[in-house]
Order: sequence, then C-alpha cells, then structure tokens
Amino acid sequence: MPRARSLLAPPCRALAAFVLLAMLPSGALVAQRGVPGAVVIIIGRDPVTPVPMLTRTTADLDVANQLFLRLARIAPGIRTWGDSGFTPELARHWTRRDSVTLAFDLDARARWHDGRPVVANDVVTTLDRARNPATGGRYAALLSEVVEVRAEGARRVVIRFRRPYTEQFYDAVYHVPPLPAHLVAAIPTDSLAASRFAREPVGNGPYRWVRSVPGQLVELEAVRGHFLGTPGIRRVVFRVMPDADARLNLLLSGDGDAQEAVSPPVANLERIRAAGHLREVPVASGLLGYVLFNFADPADSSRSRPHPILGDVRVRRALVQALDRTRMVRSVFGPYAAVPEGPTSQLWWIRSLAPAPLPVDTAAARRLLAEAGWRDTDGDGVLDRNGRPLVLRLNVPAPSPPRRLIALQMQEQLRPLGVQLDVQVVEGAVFAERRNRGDFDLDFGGAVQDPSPSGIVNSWSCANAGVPDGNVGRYCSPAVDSLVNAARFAPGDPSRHWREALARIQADAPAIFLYAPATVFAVSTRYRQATLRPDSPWGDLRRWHVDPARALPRDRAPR
Amino acid sequence: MIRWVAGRLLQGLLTVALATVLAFVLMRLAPGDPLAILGHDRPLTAEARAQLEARYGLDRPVGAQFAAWAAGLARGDLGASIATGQPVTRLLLDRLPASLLLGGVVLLLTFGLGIPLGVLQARHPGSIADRLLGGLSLTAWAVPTFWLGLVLAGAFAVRWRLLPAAGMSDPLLDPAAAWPVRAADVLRHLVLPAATLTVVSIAAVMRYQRAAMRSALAQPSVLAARARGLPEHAVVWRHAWRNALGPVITLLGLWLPLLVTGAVFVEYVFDWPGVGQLAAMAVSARDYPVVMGVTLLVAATTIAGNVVADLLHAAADPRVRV
Repeated sequence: MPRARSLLAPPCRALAAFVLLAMLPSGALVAQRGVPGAVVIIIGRDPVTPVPMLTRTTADLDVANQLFLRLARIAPGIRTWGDSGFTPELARHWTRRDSVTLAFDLDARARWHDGRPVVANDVVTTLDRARNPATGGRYAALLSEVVEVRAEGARRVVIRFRRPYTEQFYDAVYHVPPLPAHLVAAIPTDSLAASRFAREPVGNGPYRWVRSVPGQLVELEAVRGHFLGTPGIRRVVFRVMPDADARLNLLLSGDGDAQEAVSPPVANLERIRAAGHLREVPVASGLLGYVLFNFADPADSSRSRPHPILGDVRVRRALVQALDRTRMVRSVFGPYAAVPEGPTSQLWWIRSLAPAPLPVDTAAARRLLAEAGWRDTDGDGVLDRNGRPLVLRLNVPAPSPPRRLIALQMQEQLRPLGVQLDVQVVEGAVFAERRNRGDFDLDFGGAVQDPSPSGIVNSWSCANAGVPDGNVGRYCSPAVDSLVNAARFAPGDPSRHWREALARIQADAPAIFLYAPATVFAVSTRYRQATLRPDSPWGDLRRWHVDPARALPRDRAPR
Repeated sequence: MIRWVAGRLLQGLLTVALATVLAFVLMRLAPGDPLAILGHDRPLTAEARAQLEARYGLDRPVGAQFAAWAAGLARGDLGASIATGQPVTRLLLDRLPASLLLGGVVLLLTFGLGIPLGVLQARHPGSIADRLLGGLSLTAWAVPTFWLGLVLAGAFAVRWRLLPAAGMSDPLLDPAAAWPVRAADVLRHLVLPAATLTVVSIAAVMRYQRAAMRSALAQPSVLAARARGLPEHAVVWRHAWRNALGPVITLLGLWLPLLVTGAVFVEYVFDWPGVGQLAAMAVSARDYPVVMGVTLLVAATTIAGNVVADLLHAAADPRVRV
C-alpha cells in the first residue's frame, strides 16, 4: 500500500510553488529611478464623474478639487460672508465695483492641461451654463442671485447680482469651478456626463488626469511648472475600497498612505497609533447627525394632520433634555465630535452663535411630559395618554454604525423615562424611501453640509417642508424663515440674525441635534507639510513632500 | 446526446427567464429608493429626481419597465447602472475576469486538494490522519468566511507584511511592466482571498469524497481488483475512485456559479473587484439594472453548471446515459 505522501505530493508541490511565487514582494519587481514621490489615498466610493457641475459625491469632489481650480478659495476659517477671507487661485485679484458687482482678473499664467490659457470666456460659459435652470441642475438654485456674467477682455470677468447680499463673493467663486470652454461648450449638458471629457477631464489644477479603473482607482499626475508651484508629490492614486475593514487593513499594511474617516469606531485610533508610521489628523467637517422629529402624522397619507405625540413641543423638548448626548457621542466618536445646539456642523462659521446646550435634566423632562398629559396609568413602565402608549419608531440606516450605536443608547436612556423607542435598522435605500415618504416618527438623519449656512433653508424652511431630500420632518417656523432671510440679505454682519434664528430653532426643538464630528484622517508620517483643509481635505496636496530618508519604492516608481 | 443537450438548453432558457422575471418583480416589491444613493452626499432637487426617474423608467408601471428591459436584452443592452451611470454590460465585463480568476483558482484548489485528502481519509478510516483532517476541515467549515479573511489579512498583510491586504493589483505598478511582473503581482494579491475561500470550502469536498470513497472501497469489484494483484495505486484511483466521483461531480456542478459570482464577503474583505462585490452593492442600493444583469449571469451559469455536471457524470460512469 503506498504511503499517504505519494498521494498528496503533486498538489502540495503545486500549492507550495503558487504560494512562493505569490509571496515575492512587489517592491522587488519595481525598477527604482529618481524620487518623484507618490501618495495612495484610500477612499470608500468610486469617483465616477469628477467634473464640476457633475460631481455628486465626496469622492467626486476629492478628485475634482485636484483637477480644477476655483477663482478663489475659501480660507480655513470658512467664513462665507463678505469679500474677505478668500485666497486667490485662478483669479489673481478682484475688485468690488458696487454693492452688486464684482470683477475678477484671471492669472495670466493659468493654463488648461492641454496647454491652452484659462480665459474669461471659460468662466462666463461655465457660470452661464450652471445658472441656467435648464442646464444647471442644483447649481441654478445656488446661483439664482447672479443676473449677469460677462467678459471684459480676455482675462477679466464681471459678475453682477440681483441685489446686495452677504454671500455674493462666496457664490461667485465656490460652487462651480470654471470648465474649459474650448472643450465643453459644444457638448450639450445632457451629454456631458457620458462625454469623453467626463471620462478624461482636462482641468487647470496642480494635478492632471492619468487614468481610472472603475471601482478600483483613479490616478493623477503632477503638472510640472504649474503656476501655483510644481507639486511635491508626483503621483496621486485614489484607491477605492467599499469595505471599511479592508480600507484600514490596506492603510496599516503600508500599501496605502492616507485615509479619510478612519474613526469611528474609536478602537481604530488605537490601531493607527500602534502602527507607528501613521498619525491622526482631525479636520472640521460638514457632517451633522441628528434625530429628526416628524411634525406630521405618518398614519395620515396626506401628511396634513399633526403628529399625535411629537406635534407637542413639550414632548420634543423633554426628549432632548432626557438624553445625555455628550456621553453617547463620546462613546462613539471619542474626543473628535461636539454636540451641536442646532443644525450646525463644524464647517459652519455660525456654530459659535448657537445658544448654550440644554442641560441633561431628566426631572425637567418628566415634568414636561406630565404637563403634556403623559402618565403611566397602567403601570407597564410606558407612559400613556388617552389609552395611547408613548411609543416612537426610530428609523436608522444600517450602513451607519455610529447611528446604530447611538440609537441603542438612546433607547436605553429613554426607557426609565417611560418612553418606548422602537429602533428599526433598515437598509440605506429603505431608510431613504421612508424618510422621503415621511414614514417615521423619528428619523436618524445625517447631512454633509456645504460651507455656507444658507443651506439651512434646504432642511429647515417652510418652503421645503415635505420636499424629498429636503425638509422631510415638515418643521415650519415663519419666524425662523424670516430671520434666515434677514441673515442672508440684510447688509452688514449677519451674526445677530443667525444667533436669533438658532435660538428659535433650539426653542422649537425640531430635532435632537446629536453630533457634529471632525473627520479623522490618518496620514503616513513620511510626508512633510501634510496639511488637510476643512473645505477640501486634499486641497493642499500640492504642498506635501516625501521625507527623502523615508521614501518607499513606490515614491520612485516610474510613471 | 444532441437531443439531450438541446432539451437541457431549452429547459435552461425557461429557467433563466423565470428567474429573471421573479428577480425583477421581487426587487420592485422590496422597499427601498433606488435613487437614494445619488442623494447620499448631496440631496437631489425635486427636478433632478424627476429627471432621473424618467431616465431610468422608474416613473412607469412595473410591466412597462420589464418590457423595456426585455426589449433591451433582446438587443444585447442591459441598461445603465443607476448608481454610476455606466452600462451594465461594461460593468459585468470589467468585473468578470476577476471573479473567473478567483473562482477558478478556488475551485481548482478545493477539488485538487479536497479529493486526495478525502481519499486519504477513506483509505485509513479512524486513523490519526483521518481524525485530524476531519476535525480540521470541520472547524474550517464552521468558521465565518469574513472573519477568517480579516484574521488572515491581519496576520499576513498588516502584521508580517508578506502579502497585500486588499485589491487585485498594485495600482502603482508600471502599466507597461512585463506580463510576468504583472502576473506575479496579481498572484500575490490572489493568495489571501483564494486561501480564505479554499480553507472554508474544502471540508465539503473532503467529506463527500471520504464517504463516497469508503463506500466504493467496500465494493466487490475493488476486492476482485486486489485479488487480481493490481497495484494499490491502480485499485484506488482506477477502480474505486471512479465509482466514487458522483457526489463530488454533483458538488462541482453546484459550485460552478462561484466562477462568476465569486464570494461576496471575501470580495468585500479583500476588496477583490469581482461580480460578487458588484452584486452586493447593487442589491443594497436597489440598483435595479445591475441586479438584473447579475441575476441573468448567475442563472445562466447555474444552468450551465448543471449541464456540465450531468455530462461529467456520464463521462465518469458508463451506467449513466444522457
């Protein structure tokens, strides 16, 4: 009888050869020439259309911001009102002609990546397309106050507004970076997303497009002799990985150099610190997490009836005061999140104008509920009124671990108060459908806010009540609308109006505002001057350099 | 034989048609907003939402949507992904090679190693080797795939840095590099996902093969072969093993769809850019056109796997007629 070894030998030999061949380090296979520098940035979603006017996701913006410059960029303080606090980019300087007219002089050194100069007509064509409701999509609303964009000569652009308001400059420079008119003017807007230009964008930024492998990566290359300075990192690869664990593993293994949103969970921070070659960089973000109260009765298909429980402001305020938000938020985000007192992310300059947070006060919460008529008459531990128990359904999107964790803590904190919270964790698509249909009592929403607080209109104004992806909770306060309008359009410092608007929102308690976190990035310590910006995290990438003593084979890999 | 194959193909076409109709209807019945993913980072305006609904036919009745999809299918057009706007055919073709590679290697390793190990166990039932292999394989079978993947990635990629943690290739590798360099790079990336899938799936092959082989070794024909003085190697592989192939071939037929679907969890954990990962993302986002494309592909492969298994049965066992 043959021994076992003779039966197993051939497959084992094949396996051994397979494993040995595969374990050859890739660094040994790469020729080493020069030290140009590279960075592999790990992201969670595919940048599908990284072109201004077509950007839909943060990933799109991450890439588009390397390819396309704005007329001016917003300073780190993210103050969006007034004409100061902006740094020149495509525009070398600007002048205010009157209360409704701004003139920008383009930098004569600015070039598109195909070598053509950036001219005023590029700006005019782009802004005209963006502000036209037929072609501009959501940008038309953002630029609705612009009435004229015209060129004066080859390099001067004049922008005229309908009326004086505080964010004219921000609107002019922030929303839509110019596109090359000589390449896109002939492409109908409907066809732009499917055009060759969208697949291989030609920009004017410090990095040019090299290639993309859908679902896997986007590669950019530094523009040598760029008018803002030649970038210190020659190759930039955005590597796409949908799975959070895979992203962290790639980073820790050294195959990635930087990653966005490494925390939560907070345990990830320990792994990053332990790795030794990475540092954590918290950056103010536009993220906001809140539990939205439904002002309309979800059982009423017309949504015209007030919510039988949450229609009462005393109940809403009781729920806010019963929760120890700081404890919940710290347990999920660690030290990198604040509890906002209003719909204000860390990105909004008005966050400091918000009133002091309502203190945790369970006694006051009980009192408010009792005043509203809620008592435990049947001794089952759940308050009731007219035979109706105080049971609320909270929809939570499954793809968001922070929201799942906080929802469970809320459930536990509200239980002693006699409030039964039914947490329903549902898929993202189901969550969005219920949200837009108004099919919820409480909705654990999350938003990514633009730098301008004017965006408050989208989710908290009467005009947008019931609009899908808008004010789905149907909160409506004419007083708040009026104050926000005054903050946007009254001359001078709008701080007073914003302060009053935020105080009114706190008093109305349209939501439990839970967290305004910083985004925590992890970046390899081998980079020098590796700063990240709140408005565009990788916007300073061109200033990064690799420490020559710590260069890796991929920093020298030829392109 | 030709009649049999033609009959099976016709039967297969009907099954595929039924599967696609069911998938179409069930996806529409399932709750969820297919446009949600487009408003994930930046909310959609009412106008943009209406335009998108019209573009993807979501504003039409389900019957009309299916008719449009079927008409497109007849032209070879599976529509465009709602999430990315890219043609579904292109998405599938882009990802198919990765799934074929991973699935092919895993099937090769699972059956290439599982069969001899199962035979070894059957030949020495109750021995230390049998009990050890049986225990190990059952343990591996009980381990969740994603957990094993994370552990292997943590050990071999993060701690020891012997292998890449994720992906199918090094994105910084020179695209003009010679093919052996690129092939070796892909092989390095393949090791951990292939090993993960092989470890957890080999137990089934071993157990099926062990049971079938024990039964075959007890047959009078095997006793007769030994009595004729044939070498043990010939007795085992030529006489007993051929009779013990049936269950393993059935298993192979069932697992052939793995070639195109890959394995969802493993593709996620190792970010292997295959069809499984695409399918998981599409179902979660209610990306109807992509889900339908994947359903069609999987249904067709499942039918093909069964036909192949039947043909292999006939080839292995002359008593089976097709």
